Amino acid sequence: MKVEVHLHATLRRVIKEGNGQVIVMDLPENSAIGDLLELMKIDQDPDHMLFVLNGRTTSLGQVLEDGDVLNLMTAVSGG
Amino acid sequence: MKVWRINTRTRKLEISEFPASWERLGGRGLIARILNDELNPNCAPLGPENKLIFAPGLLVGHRLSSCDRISIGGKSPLTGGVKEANAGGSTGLHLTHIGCSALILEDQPIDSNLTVIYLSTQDCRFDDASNLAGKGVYESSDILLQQYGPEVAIALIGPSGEMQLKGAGIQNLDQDLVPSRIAARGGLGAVMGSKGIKALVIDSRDGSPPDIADLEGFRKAQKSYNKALMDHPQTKVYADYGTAAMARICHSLGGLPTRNFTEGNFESLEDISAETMRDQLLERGGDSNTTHACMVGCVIRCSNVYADGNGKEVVSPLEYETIGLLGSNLGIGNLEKVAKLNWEANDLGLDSIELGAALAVAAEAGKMEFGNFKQALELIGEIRAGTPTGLVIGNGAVSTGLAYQIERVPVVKGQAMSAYDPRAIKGTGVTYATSPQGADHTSGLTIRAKIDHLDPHIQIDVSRKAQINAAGYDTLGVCAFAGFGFGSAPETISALLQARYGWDVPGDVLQELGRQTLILERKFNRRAGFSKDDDRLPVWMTREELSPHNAVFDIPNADLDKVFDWIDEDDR
Repeated sequence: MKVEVHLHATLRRVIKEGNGQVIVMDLPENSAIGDLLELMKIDQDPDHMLFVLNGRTTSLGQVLEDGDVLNLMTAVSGG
Repeated sequence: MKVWRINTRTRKLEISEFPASWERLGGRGLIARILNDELNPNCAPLGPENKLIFAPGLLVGHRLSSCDRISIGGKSPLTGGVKEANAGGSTGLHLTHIGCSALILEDQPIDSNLTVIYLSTQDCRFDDASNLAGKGVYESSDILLQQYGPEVAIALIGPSGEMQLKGAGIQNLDQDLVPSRIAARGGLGAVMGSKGIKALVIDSRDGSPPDIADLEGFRKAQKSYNKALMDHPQTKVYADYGTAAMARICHSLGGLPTRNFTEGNFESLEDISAETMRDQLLERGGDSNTTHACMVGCVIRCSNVYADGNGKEVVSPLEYETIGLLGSNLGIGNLEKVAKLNWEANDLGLDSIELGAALAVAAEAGKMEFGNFKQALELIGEIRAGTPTGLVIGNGAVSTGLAYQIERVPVVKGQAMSAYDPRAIKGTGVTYATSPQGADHTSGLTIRAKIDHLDPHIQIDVSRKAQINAAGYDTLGVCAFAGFGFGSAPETISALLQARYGWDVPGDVLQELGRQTLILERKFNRRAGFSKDDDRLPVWMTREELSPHNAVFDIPNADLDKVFDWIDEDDR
């Protein structure tokens, strides 16, 4: 299945394509967000990250589905 | 601790010891205490009975990273209620170095002469400032720095404060002597203007940092706190990207205010994002700076200098709230244009949030087209010229909505919302609705919480906690972004207070200060005529759906009334 991953701020360094912001990942069925982080070699403490799946904040264990749009970001406290 | 009172009519200074009830307060909490103790809550905000208070937070004075903020307060001309707005820069630090823990400007001169108040350990002087009348903040600041020397701290107003517009703030120098650290919200610049004060100049060359009861203990706690702050991943994001990182976060949650809060996503997001800004600034070089500190000693350095294609500074800093309100909320998808509008707001001394909200309401009324930078600039020019249209817009979003019969005005208690649409980030909507300050993200932003921000059933607790913590940090003089350091090492807050003052303080002193502050602020507002009916979002936000989630604000009023249910019913 394919998931569109949007990387924010410092996490952009993980990928090299384009401006490093959006990548489509091919994942095995029933993969969770935690599996994706492992596959992408993102070693940041997930406690300090936010996961926004199709516009809603969700948790590390959330199982992904084909066509999902996932935003990965470091949690920051305001503007 | 000493309070300095200056009567702006008689030009007399009186210095006295704090009364016992003020002693363990600073910043926002102290302002709330003083307003309750000394102000007629029904006074006219721009009349002689109102007071303008400068209160450094409890930890201000020793260049602790991100802990030297100045709180400024009084009765708000915009909301009619309690007001505290805080800023970084050097004003707080220098006030403590001349031995002033609270400065209260009282009364009002009979003539209309503009003056500068010069303060040092030896002197309180009123200098003529007629040469600065009508001059912008940047030029005024340059003239004042030439006159008084580069070592002073300055808090000043622009033409909008002189015109006593309700969107006017008070600006403070940063460590590079740039006057852009604005205590923006609630119209406090108008209060300063109503007292005929163009600027406050603080010369602390003869002064010294406040005493520390236990220096060894202080240094030890400082070290632990600094380490916690440096180790936190958020610090790196702020250093590289600044607050602008919030643009893509807010967009991803469907809560980026777009074209007067009619949409939660902006098609030109990538043109106003922090990621784009960083790439631009690194490429442009010259004056550009992606990592800049507003206060001496800050290790986070979330600020920036935005430069144009030739590497020439346009504005510093360019922050998320401004990008949201003067960018997407006006339909303007270009950082350089937003930066130029930001410079204009700073030079006029206007809150960029209130200005952006007012301009978007004006756009809805057909006074400009969304996305038209030139027309936005022209409307800001009307404010500078003091035309009727300019006065309407400079007085804020409510004023603009009333003048042009627009219902869609994004305010609570008369104050414009920040760049988080409350229908998509509902906990922050709860904060907007119930904060005694009016709509303001700094009173308790919830976006970082790992919850579904669209679920109406789980937001009250989150907002309550965020509001208590924010009021606590504002009383300490601590930047919201230092909260992560303190969050990882909460014991350092009580350790720092104990070491500095020799006080015995509880482990939850942050929350204790926050609760105390909110109780006092609610009390002032109640006495000023506010009721629970004022703790509501505008009705149109409960009715108009926000794309992409088609969300409305659907938290019941009865739940909103529970935010402060920990306060005795008579005091709520």
